[in-house]
Amino acid sequence: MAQIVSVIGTTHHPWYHKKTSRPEAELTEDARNLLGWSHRVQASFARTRPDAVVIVASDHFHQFFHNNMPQFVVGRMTSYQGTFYNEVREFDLPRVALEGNRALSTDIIEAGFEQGFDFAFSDDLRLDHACVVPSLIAQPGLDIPVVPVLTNCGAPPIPTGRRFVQLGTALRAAIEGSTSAARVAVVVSGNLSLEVGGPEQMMPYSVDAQFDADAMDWLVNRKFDALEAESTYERLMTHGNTSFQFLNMLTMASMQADMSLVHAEAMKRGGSPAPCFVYEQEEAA
Amino acid sequence: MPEQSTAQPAGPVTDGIPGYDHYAVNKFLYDTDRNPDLVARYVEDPVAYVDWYVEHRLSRLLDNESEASSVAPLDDTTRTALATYDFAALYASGAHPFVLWTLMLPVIEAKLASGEFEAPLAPDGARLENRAPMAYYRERILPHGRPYFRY
Repeated sequence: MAQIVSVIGTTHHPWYHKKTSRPEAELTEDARNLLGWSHRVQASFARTRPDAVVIVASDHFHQFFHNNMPQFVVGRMTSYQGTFYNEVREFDLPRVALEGNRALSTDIIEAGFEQGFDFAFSDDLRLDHACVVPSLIAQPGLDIPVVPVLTNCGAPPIPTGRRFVQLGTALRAAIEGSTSAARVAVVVSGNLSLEVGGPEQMMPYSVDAQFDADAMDWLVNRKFDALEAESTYERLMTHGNTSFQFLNMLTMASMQADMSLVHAEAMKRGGSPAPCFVYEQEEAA
Repeated sequence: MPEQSTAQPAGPVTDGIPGYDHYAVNKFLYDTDRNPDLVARYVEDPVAYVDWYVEHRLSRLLDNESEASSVAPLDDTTRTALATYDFAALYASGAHPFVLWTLMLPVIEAKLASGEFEAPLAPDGARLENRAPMAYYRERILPHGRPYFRY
């Protein structure tokens, strides 16, 4: 049976590649922080040696839209292309290819039926920056097969906070019941307060610094009552119109169960800080 | 660079137009932005493109153009806003801010480059990436706060 060896919570900052691929002398403070974070995650991967990576992330209206909107969809391919043309245009993001673990995908979908999740699935999925950037951060060689689990954090009605907590429990059971991988890392892609296409989009300060601080406390200390109560559409909208991707962090908080918290940080940058978490299974270290 | 907001939030969360069905306008924004040829046509001639889109594409199912869609048509106000790049009006009415911004970015970029749109003044400390189009966009949506986009 598969073991979850680590759970990583990370930003999918779309300018990650553009900021970090400059010559050393031209790196900004943001870029240095992002590279430091990448090195930290890579060191964790080196310790825990995953042979599959489950990525929990949100599609940004690249493949799913209101005409046919899944709340939770599992990719089920043997390989994935990453990045869409409008992300190349806007972010200078590289087009990438990732191997998939199709058997693990199928195991997760089938286990979902027993775990209270009838997952949608896709055999024709392309990954946007929410999966590509965490992959570049965690495994720049892109050589470990992935299973993308995409959540709806952008098209209301959006599932409740409780549902995202339950998703973590269900995914943990599904992964641990699979024999299609031995050592699984789960990379959860999300944010704290955030605004895209709204009034605070380009500003140098956090959209809501108080929420960022509270949210880190709730996540680190697994305060699920607060996490669920504060994760309604109306509450999250007060922290920016893209704060809904915080919901993925609830999945991280429930999924890490009794693992050791190795690192937790709200990484400073221009704009709202980025959540950075590393949990490792002690025996795996 | 300030570490915390020095300003109050730009406006309250507002209601957009409660109960208004935004599917048609969001479909236009999403479907156009994901196709570089359609973006180029919208930049080149918005009036002709909106006419064409409504007649030939809005009326068809997404991802199955051989079948008609019963999607509610665009009302005249929204159609005019799309044809005149009046994104502030679309934003205020509750069009989805993500797909709205994502399509308006290449439009504003092109129009700033051609001189058709006047170069904006970016706020102090503002993000460097896409700075000019973001500032142009921000100036115009700012009075409308942060509308709900759930309807």
